[in-house]
Amino acid sequence: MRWSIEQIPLRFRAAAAGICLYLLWPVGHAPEWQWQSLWQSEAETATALAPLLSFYTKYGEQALPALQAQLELNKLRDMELALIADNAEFSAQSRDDSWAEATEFMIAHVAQTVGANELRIYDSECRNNLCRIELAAPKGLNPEFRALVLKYAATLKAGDLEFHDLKESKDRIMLELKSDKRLQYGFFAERALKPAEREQWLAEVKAWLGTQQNNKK
Amino acid sequence: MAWHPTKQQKVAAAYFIAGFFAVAVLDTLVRLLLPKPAILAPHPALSKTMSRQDVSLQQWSQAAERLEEKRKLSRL
Repeated sequence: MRWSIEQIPLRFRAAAAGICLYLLWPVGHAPEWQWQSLWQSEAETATALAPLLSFYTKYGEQALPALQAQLELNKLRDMELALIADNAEFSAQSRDDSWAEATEFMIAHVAQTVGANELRIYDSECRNNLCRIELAAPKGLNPEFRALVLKYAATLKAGDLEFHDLKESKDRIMLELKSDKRLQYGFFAERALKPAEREQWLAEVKAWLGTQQNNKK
Repeated sequence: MAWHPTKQQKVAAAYFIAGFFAVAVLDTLVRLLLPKPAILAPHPALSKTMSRQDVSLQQWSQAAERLEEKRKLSRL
């Protein structure tokens, strides 16, 4: 016999729906620090709280909105650091089209002008902030070719591309360069990194810093 | 013609509301029964602010440290 949800009496289904509604309610859970105090000893909790308590005793209740705003900003920063770590490898990056196209153009142009057309590029690809250039090296990485590659890399450095990695294979070398531009993320990641309240949090921290300066004057 | 709920529908609605409030009461009890660090006890305003955020003790302290750094930098 096939099971169907109809077999559960309606009143139990209704009660389960009510329970689910409460659990999905965003405020329906105790804060993590309160759970933490279940498994941490008093001494451990005191150590973890020491910077917070000294801050609070120094500045009092006026600092609380700024503290909460800073906490939210820290969360955004942690999220961005995690995204940067996820994008550390070339293979893990998606392509930031406008930057990648412009940089590939610059790479090709610089290769022609530096070393009087002696450098041959097999392939160049840029993604989010990393570029890979495959250079033809039929005689391997001999001193003359090394000097040429260094000159090429130094010229690219002037265009904000830092040397990142170099791999040598049989008849070619793979040069990896990194830009310090901000990474471009997908739509949802960008939206999570820049919520509407971000400006307000920044303003709250700034306002508190302002009053601190005024108090000092 | 106006819609009138059947008795079974009324009972289901009552169970729905009862389920919601039963868990709400349970949750409030858990919040009240969970221990609060003793060093927070003399600062009710701070622990009240902390209850509004679901984060760890370390994250609170990091925020305080960061603010203190910013204050020092702004004074330079």
